[in-house]
Amino acid sequence: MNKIIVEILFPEVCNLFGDIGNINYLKKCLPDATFISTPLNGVPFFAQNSVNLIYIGAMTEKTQSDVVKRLSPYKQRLAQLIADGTPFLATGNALEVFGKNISDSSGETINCLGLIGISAKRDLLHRFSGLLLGEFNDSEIVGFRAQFSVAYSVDSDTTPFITVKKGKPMNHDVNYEGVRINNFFGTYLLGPFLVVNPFFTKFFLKLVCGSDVPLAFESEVIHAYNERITDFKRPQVKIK
Amino acid sequence: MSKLKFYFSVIAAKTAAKLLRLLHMNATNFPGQVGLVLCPNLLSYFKMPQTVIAVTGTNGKTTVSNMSADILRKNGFPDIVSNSYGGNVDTGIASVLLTNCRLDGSFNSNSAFFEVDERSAPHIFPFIKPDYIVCTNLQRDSMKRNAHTDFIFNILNSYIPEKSTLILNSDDLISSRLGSDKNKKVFFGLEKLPDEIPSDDSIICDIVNCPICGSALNFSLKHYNHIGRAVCPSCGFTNPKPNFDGVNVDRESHALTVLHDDSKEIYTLPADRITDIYNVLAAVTLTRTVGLSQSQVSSALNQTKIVKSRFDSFKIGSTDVIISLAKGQNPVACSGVCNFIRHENGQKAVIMILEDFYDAKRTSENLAWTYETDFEFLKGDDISQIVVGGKRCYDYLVRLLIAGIDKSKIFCCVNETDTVSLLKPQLFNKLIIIYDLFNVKSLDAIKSQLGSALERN
Repeated sequence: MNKIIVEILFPEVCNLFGDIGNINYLKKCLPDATFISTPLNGVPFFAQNSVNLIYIGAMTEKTQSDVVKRLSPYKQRLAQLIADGTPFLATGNALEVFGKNISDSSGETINCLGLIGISAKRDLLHRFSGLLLGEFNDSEIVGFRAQFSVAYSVDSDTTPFITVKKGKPMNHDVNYEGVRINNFFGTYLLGPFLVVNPFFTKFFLKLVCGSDVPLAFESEVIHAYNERITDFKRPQVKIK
Repeated sequence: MSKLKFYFSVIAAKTAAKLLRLLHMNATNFPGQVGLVLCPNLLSYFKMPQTVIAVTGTNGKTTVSNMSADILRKNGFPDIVSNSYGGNVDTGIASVLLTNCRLDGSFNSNSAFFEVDERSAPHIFPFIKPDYIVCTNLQRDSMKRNAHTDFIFNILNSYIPEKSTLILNSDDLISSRLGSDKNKKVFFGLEKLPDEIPSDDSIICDIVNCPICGSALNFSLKHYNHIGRAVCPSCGFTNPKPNFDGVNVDRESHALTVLHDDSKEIYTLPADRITDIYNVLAAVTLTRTVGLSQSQVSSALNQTKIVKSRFDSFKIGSTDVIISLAKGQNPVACSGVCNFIRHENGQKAVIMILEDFYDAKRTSENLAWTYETDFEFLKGDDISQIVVGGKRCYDYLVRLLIAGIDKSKIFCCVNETDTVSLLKPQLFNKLIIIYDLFNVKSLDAIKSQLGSALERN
């Protein structure tokens, strides 16, 4: 098997809510893989090379504009990688960077990479925090959210990622959270998404590595996951 | 009409406060809530005392407020109106003002001192324009409450009155940029201390690129997280020069040497962790800027003690016990405590009760913050045991494993008060208990068990 290469985009600024926990966990799951951290002022490794996974985490609103600017020269390359089935994971508002645009309540519109069919509306005066219980591939998904923006699907071919069972969906008109295009997974769920969702992580690592990969601390991670799901399902738990 | 509403709200709030006192009920915000419902722009009608001071910032504002108010009380401001025992949002400040004012909204006191929650600036500073505003620092805090430092910076900066003299931390490249050219600014900072072990391995650094040109900053010193000294190699952006510069700490005599106007001033440190030093620097800079002399401030600081509910140490048998507040959901504050633990000498055990008491009751706590917290600092061989108590203990177990801590050292229990029974006293000679602010009841239950658990050791 070729050596697995994971590229983490801009971890110094795209780690707003503990998102780096995903990478630290992947390092434990894939001890032989190469992890490349590309800084905001650097040239992305994927520009000239093949990678097995590209990860990007949550960021500030100003950083979103910087990231769009940095990635714009590589838009075609990113589109090709998504089309070819390279696994991507974008957590928190990183998802919006790959969408068409972000309309801010101030009246400003930020044009984004336009690689996925969503458009976001941002309002810095109204922030939403909550929990989510959902389902993907017959496994339950748990997650946390904290966001100033809401995304709307603007293309009919955008595929939902997570079916929502409890908590707020991506917007009022749908019952799903996040989008999936081939092996690109984007979700507003933030922080250590891969740590708290071991069954998704198993599925995802199979996409990354081409075969089943045992999870690090598998029994402990699954035990914590089961405890959290039980907690989320308690009727008295306010989830939004 | 509005003025009538104001008078009515003063009477109603004072009555509410008296009733609550008669019922022995603690009501730090309630009179203010009543007042603000009756008169939404209530704060604009007070005839504020001659000197008004506000302290805000992410970490340290309570300590700096209490310390500074204490120094001022001992030096010519005996009847200062303050929210030391009240809330730090608009309702808390309204409560203090309503319960202390005369019926016409004026005060007997010549000064007022408020700790202000940084997010509450839009509700307070348009109406109350402090003569002095201290900002201790702006750092990552609870994501639910504060989102991120850009957000808080912009909120605060939009509402800082032009007349306010700003007391700012020059080692914080975020908050040191607060205010406009119209604000007078006085900076405090801290040089690298001779015995300091720089902390440049934290997960969080809230400013990595130059806010002017976007180039990567070169840090020459990190006291902790982003607090330190940096320069932009492209445009030269750097820390402002401190007017009150901490240059040395004598840990034996608990003395802090501060360089000010080319002369050395010595102050007593009630505690000597890096954050404690910054708190003293902020309090010294404020009180000296207000007009107190070095000897007045120094003499008052000699009598200051850290509140035992935040930090305490004692001995049981041969075991040293340290109890420290760690502020759950605040990754910077919690990392600071982890850094303190790693540098403490001795063979150590740690009890952690960090879960949010209210989240555990009402919802399911978002533990994303633990992945920004430097639990990696606890993986040294000099830590024999880590005992985690609380409903989310299995999430903590995973987090500690990812931090590289050996599973054999980690012990979990859902009931926080069971943590003591999991201790193995033969493995350590120092026990450090870290707890969230709202877990005091569990902490007290744990403390009550320590004697029997440790005395035989």
